[in-house]
Amino acid sequence: MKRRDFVVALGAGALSTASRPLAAAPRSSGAVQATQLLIPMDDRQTNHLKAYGVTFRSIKRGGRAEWLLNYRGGSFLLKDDRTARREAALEGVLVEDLPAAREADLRGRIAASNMDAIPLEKAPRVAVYAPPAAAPWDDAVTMALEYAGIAYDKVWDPEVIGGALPDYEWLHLHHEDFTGQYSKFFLTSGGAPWLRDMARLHVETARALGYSDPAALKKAVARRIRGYVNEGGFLFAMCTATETLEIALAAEDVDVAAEYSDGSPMDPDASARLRWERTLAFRGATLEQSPQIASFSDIDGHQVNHPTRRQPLGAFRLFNFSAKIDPVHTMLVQCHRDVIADFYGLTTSFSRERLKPSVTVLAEEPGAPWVKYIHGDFGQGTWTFLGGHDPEDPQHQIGDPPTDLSLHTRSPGYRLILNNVLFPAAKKRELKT
Amino acid sequence: MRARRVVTVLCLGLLLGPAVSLSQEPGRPVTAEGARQQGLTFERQGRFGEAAAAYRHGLATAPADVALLVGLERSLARVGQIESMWPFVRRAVETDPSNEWIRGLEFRLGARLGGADSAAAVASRWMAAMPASVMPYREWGSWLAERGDAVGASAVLALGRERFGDVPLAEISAPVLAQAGEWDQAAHQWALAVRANVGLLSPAAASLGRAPESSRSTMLGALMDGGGAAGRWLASDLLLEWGQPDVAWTVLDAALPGERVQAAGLLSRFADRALALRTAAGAEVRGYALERMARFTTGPAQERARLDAAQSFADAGNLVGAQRMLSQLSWEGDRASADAAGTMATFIRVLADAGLVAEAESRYREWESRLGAVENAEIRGRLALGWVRRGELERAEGLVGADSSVAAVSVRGWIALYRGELDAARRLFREAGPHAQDRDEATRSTGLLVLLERVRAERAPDLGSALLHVTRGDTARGIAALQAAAAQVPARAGRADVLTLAGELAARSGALETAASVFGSALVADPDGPAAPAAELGLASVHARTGRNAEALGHLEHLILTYPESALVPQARRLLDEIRGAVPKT
Repeated sequence: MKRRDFVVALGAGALSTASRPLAAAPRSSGAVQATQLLIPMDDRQTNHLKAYGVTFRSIKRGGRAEWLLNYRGGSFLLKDDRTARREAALEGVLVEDLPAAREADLRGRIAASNMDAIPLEKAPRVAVYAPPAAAPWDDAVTMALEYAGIAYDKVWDPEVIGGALPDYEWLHLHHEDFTGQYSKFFLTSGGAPWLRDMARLHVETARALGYSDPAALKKAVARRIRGYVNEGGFLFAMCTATETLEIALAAEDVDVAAEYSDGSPMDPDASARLRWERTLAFRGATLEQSPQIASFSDIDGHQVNHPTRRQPLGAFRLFNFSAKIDPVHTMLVQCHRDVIADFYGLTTSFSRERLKPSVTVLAEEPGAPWVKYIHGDFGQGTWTFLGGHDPEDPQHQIGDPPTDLSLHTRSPGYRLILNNVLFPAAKKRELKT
Repeated sequence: MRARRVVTVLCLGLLLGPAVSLSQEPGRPVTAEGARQQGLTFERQGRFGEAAAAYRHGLATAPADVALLVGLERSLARVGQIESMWPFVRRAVETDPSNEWIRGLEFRLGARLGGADSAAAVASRWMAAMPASVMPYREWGSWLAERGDAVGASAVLALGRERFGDVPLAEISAPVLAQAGEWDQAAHQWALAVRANVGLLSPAAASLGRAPESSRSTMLGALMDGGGAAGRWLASDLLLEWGQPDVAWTVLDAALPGERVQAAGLLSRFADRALALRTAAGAEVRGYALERMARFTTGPAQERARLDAAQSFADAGNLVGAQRMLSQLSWEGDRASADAAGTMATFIRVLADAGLVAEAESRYREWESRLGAVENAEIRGRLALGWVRRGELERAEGLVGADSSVAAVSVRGWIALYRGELDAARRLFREAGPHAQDRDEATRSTGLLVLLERVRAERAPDLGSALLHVTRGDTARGIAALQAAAAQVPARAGRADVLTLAGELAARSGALETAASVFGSALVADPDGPAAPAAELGLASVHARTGRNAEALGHLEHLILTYPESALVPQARRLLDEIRGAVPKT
């Protein structure tokens, strides 16, 4: 499915839903029977995160589902079947019977309000870009997928260079450093065994794939990812993958890696030589020249690892979009909370002045010079960037124990991640006008 | 050092700033002091271009004024014109060629604008001009290290050490060598730095603490063999951090200096760090350090050290150590303070928990009058429980006597339970409530109260006796006795609960096959009774521990779907997630 068709079709969905007769819902002549299962996603829900998994697997089994945008926190409507009920009971997900009469009322409310019902018809094939030895516990998206029970494949440099990306509808970038500098922890944590192993793996992989060093390989991988989006893929990136992917794309012919990574120091004039027309989201950034400071550029508003530039955490607010006019943006911000506590990452946020004009801001910290959650189109695909590392571990440090999502079943931050996973499942519909 | 001086200058400037006239006419000669104040005022207002102009103005009359030069550097950096600093720096060097601050500024500027080659050229000129100064080596080495060029930095610092010896550059060399992974050399340099300034012990330990496991042994060897006393202090710190508190203490104890204040400082630091370990071994070595510290102190400080040592030994379960410290305390007069009584109370508790109930009771009798009412009641309850655990129910009963405190009522509940007087036990536990004992005891009594509600018999001596076996630590015998007692309880009136308790004990003691069998029997006895969810969860848990995940999943799914309202459902879901790999294992 190409992004353009998808968005056009969703736009049409608004019209079709709004004009759908209220009597379209099936009616039973005798006693009221439950014909649909409603998974409410407001504060009554007992496990928001697992609700996405129940919905995803229902679609995967061939069942039809609908995403009720802006209705009770972005609820799901599933075809009532034993498997879905059983799964919901096992996972602790609250479901409600929706008899035909109530469904008609519901559709009436949706038609008359800033809501929409988006059909979900095909479970996307999901890929997570992560090194082979990465534990699932250090990446928020992988944790969310594991916890919700959403199947995914891991891909890494050999698969990306080998052309595997078109096999997937949705790609998530693990918090990889696409500048090839091992997240710039090399000098400060040089002796750490995990870092030595990581560096060795990257160097060996680069050589095996015919690249001189990890920085060169990562640039090639970044270009492949951009090509994937251009051809219609859905990209979701968090933390430092957002910023470094963009730097790697802008730095195609510029040395932006420290000497320890590629054998030559960073080009002192690197910032001026970057080509931002090649990127998806950002423009005009100035790079951090010191290899000892684990910060990449002034794209990140919070600069968590910079001793003097570090900014305190606040809270970010999700924008309210028109469900019938902007269904894509509305899907991405479905949540039972409008304001969410912020969380650090190597890249925590995105400076407003570094955003390209075409970028849509999905969430911002009001009054702050940075935003948290952004989205945009590129070619026939779309990309979404969320700053920060782990929504439920705001000060995450290397070596911290993994986040246990069974303790955060209502996490609004993790819901944003799962919105992205489900969003490519939305059905495209033909534009009527 | 330099930064501190600059900060001082800046603070002074900020204090004086408000007095400066901002309407000074440009072009009119100003004093260096006036220019400084004017520049600082502009800086504070964010008018960096004007600040730079003020500093430049002042430098016309005082070209080697360091405060003006530093202010100009700051201001030009903010307006992106740092390169225009060069003529002023050159003139300052010509005016005062032996000024280290100006040379440092020249180096910083050269490095910033011209990179590595320029830095090398400026540093070389500085070395040639001031051959007796160690500063160019420090500045150049630090700058290279900050850029991540650990090899280059090491080379420069090695050159400096060749000329001036190790000591002046040790503080700079050590982290650079650590960064380069040269752990043995880094350890040597840190030992030298700590010898010159014991305040560097913390950064030294932090730097060397990052050494990979493979390098630790040789590095510790280097510190112990060639690092002198400072090397051993450092080694002791590292051993403590790496989880070897007993070795750490031995090393420090052997390297303590004779000088009283320094020794007490090292011991106090060690004791604090050992406390942070929050382990029994940490508490024990803390006790030793405080005991030694008592020798270096006198009066109240000495008493305090002994008391804290006694408390640490008691926390570690080292009764001999605690007793030794307590015997050295002066208990008379004012010194028999609340602290001392508190320590003795801890000691009595430790004795009771260690099963030395007779000795604990004897100590308690000596101290009874000096303890508060609440503490008295709590200790009597603990001692009584100690007797209960030894099976001496009459002695326990005698100790609580007619005491009406909730702790005493709870003890009487336990006594009744172990005698098999279930009715009385039920009544007493309910009367005592959940706050009678510490958390563990309260949890146990609440759990047993549930069991007693289910086993409706008025008396069950076999069950009481089985529970006493368990309490006395004879778990294997207790499990067998519980199974035998269960046979005498009606199938649907508590048998499944007794068997489930036996299964839980077996699972906890690692007898997993027995546990699986007993849980199975519980489910057969009363398949849909109130104990069924707990038995099924226990069985699933045993299956999961023995790798029979499919069976475990089956039981968990059955439990969740059959008893959706059970309080055990969240635990079952958690285990389900763990088995599926959806959450990290706990």
